[in-house]
Amino acid sequence: MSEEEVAPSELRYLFLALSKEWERSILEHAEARDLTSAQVEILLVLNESGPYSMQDLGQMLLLNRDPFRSVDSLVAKGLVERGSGEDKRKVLWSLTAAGAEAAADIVAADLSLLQNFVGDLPTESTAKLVNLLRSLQGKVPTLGVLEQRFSAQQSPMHEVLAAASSTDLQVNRSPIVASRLRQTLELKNAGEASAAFAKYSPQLAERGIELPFRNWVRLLENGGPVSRHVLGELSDVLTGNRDYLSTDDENVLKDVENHMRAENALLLAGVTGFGGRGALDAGALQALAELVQKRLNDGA
Amino acid sequence: MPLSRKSRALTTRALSELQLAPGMLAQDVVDAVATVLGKPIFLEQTVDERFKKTTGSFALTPDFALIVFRGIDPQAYQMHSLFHELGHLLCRHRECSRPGTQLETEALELVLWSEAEREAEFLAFKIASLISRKSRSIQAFG
Repeated sequence: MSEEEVAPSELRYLFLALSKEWERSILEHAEARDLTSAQVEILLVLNESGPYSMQDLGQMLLLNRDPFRSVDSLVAKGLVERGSGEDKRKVLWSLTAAGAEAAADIVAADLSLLQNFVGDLPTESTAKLVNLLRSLQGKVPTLGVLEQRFSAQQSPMHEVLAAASSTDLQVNRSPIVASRLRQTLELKNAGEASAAFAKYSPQLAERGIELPFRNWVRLLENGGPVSRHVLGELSDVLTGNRDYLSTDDENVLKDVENHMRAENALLLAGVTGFGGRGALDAGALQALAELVQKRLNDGA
Repeated sequence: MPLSRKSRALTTRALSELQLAPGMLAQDVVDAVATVLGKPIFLEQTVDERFKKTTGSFALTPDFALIVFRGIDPQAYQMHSLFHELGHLLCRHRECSRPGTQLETEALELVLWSEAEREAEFLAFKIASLISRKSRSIQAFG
């Protein structure tokens, strides 16, 4: 077949064929839970940025019909539950722990399928393909769904293709990540979620990460889903250490937290600028803050 | 790495504000920088263990500046550390330093900070040379 030629219905067929094959494989994977493709998509959306009202959920999905029956069925399977949210006028739906686990399994299957489909292509070709499809998505009304759903989970293409498992690539929901992120923002006096978002999202954007506010809130509440790439960048922006938000290393935790406390002490002492020759570690910063405070107490 | 043209202009302008002369003492230089800065500069010599990896540091507040240098270093080295930190203050490096957000520094700012370190280091040597009793040409020709 010539690379320069195409039939009018060929592209539609190509999209459909790939889509059907992908759907078949995912449903095969989800067979144990007896899920339909609509239910798979609902689980993913609720995992990414739920809870949602039925109406908002419908807008996030590429479904031709109301998601009510699918949600009902997921509730019966113990994967979705009526939740409470900030908006009391609407009934919000969210995942149960089993639902979050099912969603993580689907993401793992998606990764495996992605690697099977494009694993033998050069990484650059896959990147071009993805960008081409994204630009084509721009021609259909997706209401910013792409950003909303996937920004927090994106990783560099080569990492995605090389990942041995989805857990190497991303954290689905981690109470540790959520609590550490909240604690970090508290230590830095970053204020409410919206104030912290206004402060740090531009810094993330400079690093190529456009995180919607809804995902930011879910990250604070659920600790994911988030790619290790995004988590590393966020951790670096907040603490200067890429591992802090997800590490178990006590030394890293202690060092970063001491550093943040020392910086706070400097701020509290009214310091507007500081610098040092050599390593200004947490201890030196704390000592510097104490000396400034002593001067202030002495009535400098 | 040599100073960039911008850094050279900045340090030259900073030095010209001081009017240093051979024979001036370190305290004279501190006073001159304080005048330029418009606020007092306090010096703190420390043997605090927490500064063991930091030869000198400065903190700037709305009312004063504080320069800390290590008491365990040889006198000449302490002097150099002091002049280095004065260099930061003279170049108004608080603008590119990181008040309370040192850890939020972007790569570009880190580069700027390296440049700031080079500027401060350059000024430290320049200050020492300008207040030295003998000019370089006299030294060279005995």
